[in-house]
Amino acid sequence: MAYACHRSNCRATTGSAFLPWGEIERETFEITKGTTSLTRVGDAGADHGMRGGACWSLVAWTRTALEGVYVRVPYGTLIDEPALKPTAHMFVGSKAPWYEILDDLPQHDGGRRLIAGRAVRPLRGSGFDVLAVTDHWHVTVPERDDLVIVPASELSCRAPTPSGEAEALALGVAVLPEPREPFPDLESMAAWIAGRGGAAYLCHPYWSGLTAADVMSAPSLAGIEVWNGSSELLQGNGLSSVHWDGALQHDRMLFGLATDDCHSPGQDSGLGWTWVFANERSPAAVVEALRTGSAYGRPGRGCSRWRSARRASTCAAHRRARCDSGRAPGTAVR
Amino acid sequence: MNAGDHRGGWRGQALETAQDGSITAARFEFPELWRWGRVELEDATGARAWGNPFALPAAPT
Repeated sequence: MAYACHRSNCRATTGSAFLPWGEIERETFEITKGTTSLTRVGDAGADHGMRGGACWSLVAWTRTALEGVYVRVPYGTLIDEPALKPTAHMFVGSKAPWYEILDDLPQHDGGRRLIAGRAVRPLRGSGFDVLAVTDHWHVTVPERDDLVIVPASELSCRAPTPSGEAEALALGVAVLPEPREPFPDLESMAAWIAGRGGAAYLCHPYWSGLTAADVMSAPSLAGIEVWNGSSELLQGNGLSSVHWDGALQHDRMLFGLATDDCHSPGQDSGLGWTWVFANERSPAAVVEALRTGSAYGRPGRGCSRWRSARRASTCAAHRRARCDSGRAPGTAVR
Repeated sequence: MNAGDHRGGWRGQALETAQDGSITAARFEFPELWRWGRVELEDATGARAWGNPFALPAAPT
C-alpha cells in the first residue's frame, strides 16, 4: 500500500507539506549498497528508522503488525518511479493549512472518516445522482450537496472463508461500531447495521468464498452484491447470482445491488450501477429504497431499456435516482 | 428465455420480439413450489440487469 500522509509528525520528519510513502514486507526489502552510510534511529530489535548519515534524509522505517514486519519507504528518496502510486491522502485533518490538495485521490481525516468531496470528483458529471462511499471501517463525510452522498462504510466479520472474513456494506449508517474490530459472525454484523436504520448488503459473496448457506445464516441482511465490478475485473468472480438464487430457493428473500468496488476512480469506476426508485432525492429516501428492494442493478451503463414489470406501475410516481455504490481508493470509494 | 438461435426456454414463451430478434415481451410460468421470482435481462451485447425478487402467489390448495 502507499499513501500520502499529512500528519504533523510526518510533515516535521520530512520538512515538507506531506510524506508520500509505500509499504512492503520486510523480506522483500534489501539494501544493496551504502549500508555503512546509513544511521539507524531507534533500537534494531524494535521499530526503527534509517537515515542517510550525511544528508540525514529519511530512507526507510519499519512497522510491526500482528501479521508481520513491514518497511515503509518515503517516495521522495526513490530514483525510479514506484509501481504503486499513493492511493489516498491520510490524516488530512492535520494537513498544513497553506497547502491545497489538488489531485482526485480520496482523503482520510485521520478519524477513520473519508472526506467524499475529492474522492468522488472523477465521478461527478458521469451520470450519478447518488453515491455511497463505503471504505473499510471508514464513514463517508459528504462535503457538497450537488451529489447525494449516502453515509456508509464497509464493515467486516469473521466468516468461514479462505480469508477468515466477510464484509458488508453499512448503507445509511454514519457511525462505526465500538470496538472497531470484526464482528464474530455475519448476523451480528448485519443486525448491528439494521439496528441503526441502515441497509446491510453482503459484499461480493462469490469473491469472499461464501456459500448460500452462509448468506442465509444472517436474517438481518437486506441483500447481497449480486454484481461486484472490481471482483469481476480482477478475478472473474463478481457475479453472485448463484448465492442469490440459492437463498431464494430456500425461501430467504434478499435484494440485490450492483457496485463498482472502485479503488481507482476513472480506472475501475462505472462497472456497477444500481438504479433506485426513491420518493425524494435524499440519503434517507435512497436507503429506504435499498432496504425495501426498490431498486435494480446492472453492470456498466447499458441496457437502458430495462423496466421492471413489478415496478412499472409505480415508476412514474417516484423520482428515479441513479445510485452507485462505489468504493473509493486505497480501500475506498465503494 | 432465449432469443436468436436458441430461442425459447423452459416454461417460457416469447410474446413479442423486435426486428433484431430480441425479446420485448415474454411470459413465464413459475413452478408451483417457487415462492420468489426475479427477472434478469441480457441484451444482444451481453449487458445485463437484475431486478429484485418479488413474491409469487401461493399455489391453490
